[in-house]
Amino acid sequence: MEMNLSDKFKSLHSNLRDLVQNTLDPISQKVEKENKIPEEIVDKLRALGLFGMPIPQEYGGLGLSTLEEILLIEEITKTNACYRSRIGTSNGIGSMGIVYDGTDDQKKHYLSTIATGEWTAAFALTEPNAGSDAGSITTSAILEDDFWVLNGNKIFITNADSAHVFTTVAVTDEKKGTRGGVTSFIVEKDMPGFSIGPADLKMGFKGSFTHELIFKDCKVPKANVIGGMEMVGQGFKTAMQVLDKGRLTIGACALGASEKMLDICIAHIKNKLALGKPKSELQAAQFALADMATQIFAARQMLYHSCQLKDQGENVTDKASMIKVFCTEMASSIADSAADMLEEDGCLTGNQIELFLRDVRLYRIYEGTSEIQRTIISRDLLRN
Amino acid sequence: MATFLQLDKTHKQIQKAVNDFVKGEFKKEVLDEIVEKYKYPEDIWKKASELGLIGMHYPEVYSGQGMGIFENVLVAQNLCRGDSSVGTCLAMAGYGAELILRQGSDEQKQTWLPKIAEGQVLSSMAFTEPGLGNDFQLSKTTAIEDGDHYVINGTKTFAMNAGPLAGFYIVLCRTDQEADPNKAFSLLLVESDCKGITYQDVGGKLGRRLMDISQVQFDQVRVPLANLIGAKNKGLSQLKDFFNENRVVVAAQALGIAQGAFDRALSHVKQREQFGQKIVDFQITRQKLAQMATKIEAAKLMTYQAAWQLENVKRPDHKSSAMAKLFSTQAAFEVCDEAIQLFGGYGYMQEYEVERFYRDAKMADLFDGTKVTQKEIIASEVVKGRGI
Repeated sequence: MEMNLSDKFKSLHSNLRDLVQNTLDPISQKVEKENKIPEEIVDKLRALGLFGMPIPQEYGGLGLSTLEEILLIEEITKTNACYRSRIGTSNGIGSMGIVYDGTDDQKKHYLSTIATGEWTAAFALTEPNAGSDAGSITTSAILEDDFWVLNGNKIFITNADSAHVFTTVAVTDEKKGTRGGVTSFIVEKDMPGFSIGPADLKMGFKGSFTHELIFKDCKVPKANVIGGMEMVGQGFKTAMQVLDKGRLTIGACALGASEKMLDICIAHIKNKLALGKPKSELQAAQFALADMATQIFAARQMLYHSCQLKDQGENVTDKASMIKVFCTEMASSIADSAADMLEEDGCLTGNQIELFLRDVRLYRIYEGTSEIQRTIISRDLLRN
Repeated sequence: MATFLQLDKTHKQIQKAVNDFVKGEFKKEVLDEIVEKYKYPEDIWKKASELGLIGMHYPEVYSGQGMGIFENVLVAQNLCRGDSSVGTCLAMAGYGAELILRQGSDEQKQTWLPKIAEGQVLSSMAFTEPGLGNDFQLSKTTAIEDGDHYVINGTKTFAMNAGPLAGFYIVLCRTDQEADPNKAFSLLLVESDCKGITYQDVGGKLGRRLMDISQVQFDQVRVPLANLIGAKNKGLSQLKDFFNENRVVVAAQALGIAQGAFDRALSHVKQREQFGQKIVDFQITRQKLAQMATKIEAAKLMTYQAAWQLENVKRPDHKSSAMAKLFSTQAAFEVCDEAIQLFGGYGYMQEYEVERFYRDAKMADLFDGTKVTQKEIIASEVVKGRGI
């Protein structure tokens, strides 16, 4: 596959690889245990420009193509998942709405501070009764003079603790619903009536937090509708477009994790003995490795190929869903086989596989469950 | 449902007793605290022993209920259905003590079995060693005779229950330094207050987080010769017999974990609505529930069959228990995985419990012999024609 990557990008890619191997991965256990990424590590991510990968250069971002961004995500997920999660929302669901549909002023004001990592962006769509069924959100926004007044609750909002800016999806016309009645807003954390609840207790993703957001007569300036007043009612489309790209990203996360797990397994069976000989001589282990590598090869091809198509302007909605299902289910199955291969050691947090087993499980759930992806794929196949 | 494997009146009474116990004692606020602080469920354990749920299969003279393996399996299953983590703790409170029950001396039985059944101590087993996995025959821990004592030196790891509540360890030691490994190892009962024992937690782990799982060091530990369990230098074959019984109990734990995750997922999909209908009314949900239920049913039949066989067949094969362990633990992990999926985002949150069941299920899979080990056992019998 011809990638045509610039020297400048290649050097960034290799810098990130070094950072992951020499800095992020060695403290992965500490981050896990303390449930916190040290701020100086976040500064290193900022310094590489990783908070603004897809944000255009004119707004201070790296202006990377989809393929380039995916390659970096694949690299940074070869360790504890929380690092990618820390930059994830600013590059993806939190900021892309502004990149796609924002006004010039919004882009200038928000994207430049998001791109440097000064402000973290988050995305608020999910509600207690609107998970997979995002169209049934009830958080409302009513225009009163120069402000939109928001009321409602959002849940499981990634990076809510560190975010300054929340792309928030709310209902502006109940009757029209998702067809013209849903609007995206830029909400800042210190706007009156906005607060966050306690951190959720999760199975994995330690060091990365999700919270509930509470909007209680939260006053948002009129100008903070993404795309301006003419975009009122168009927010659901923006949200879906944002999630579209997110599916390729989650695919890349699952791929990066899978590649790292394969590396751990190879190192393990080369160094460990079983039945008196190196484990690498056991066929059961050899075949399990072969299956992992085969799946990874397929995943990488479908992911890179679809990124290139997207960069050429093609619609890849169905492919993005296929990638999300395939890559995330692959990562779960590889985590399971890897734990088996490491035997009892596979249950120890110190061996990383334990960590991956818990972390990759989330990829099949958030930003559209596997069931939602299969619904999208089949709907597309059966259309006409 | 009538089956060829009828549960008799006693079995049903046991099931009911366990379920009542779960309902009364596995209170959400109590469990939340235990889980958050990684605490051993000490109060629940004591109460379970008062009710006779620990060591039910020990004879009454040793404070048991005089029941068999099948009844013990029912208890393990239903405790784990109530809660995967607490259930596993209770089902493993006497981990390894079957070696005393089946092969120990009268004195060993009299001293230790009542203490376990009465909830005074936990038992711990120390057989594997750092880096060894299932290759017990390469164990380096030695027990050397010195007058009327053995002197034990070595390091064991992944010892379940190795912590402050352990009353004793059953330790696999090399007692003949020259012989072929099959005739070189013995099992020794080591009281936990012996001088020279230190243990250290293995650290962060996937599941079974309420239990102590530790690395244990034996440094010049002296135990009387009478602490030998069964015959000298027969340790490896004693271990095989122990695992043959224990695999069925682990299969039962996994079965219960699968059922518990299924129960929770079912009640969730029945009450949650998305897209204007209950999740349970989506065809794909019903297909998933059917698949989960089928796996659970198969696991149950295999586990009960293996337990029944151990109880009733003179020379039980090792294949049935290995198949039950292989199938049931895998089924449990898959059922828990699907349960998380049915919960959606909530499934990833600790509050909804299925993520914990998922982690505990994988522990049952990884310990007491992985899938590869179980398949080796099954293969060694089927290739000899002791087949299917």
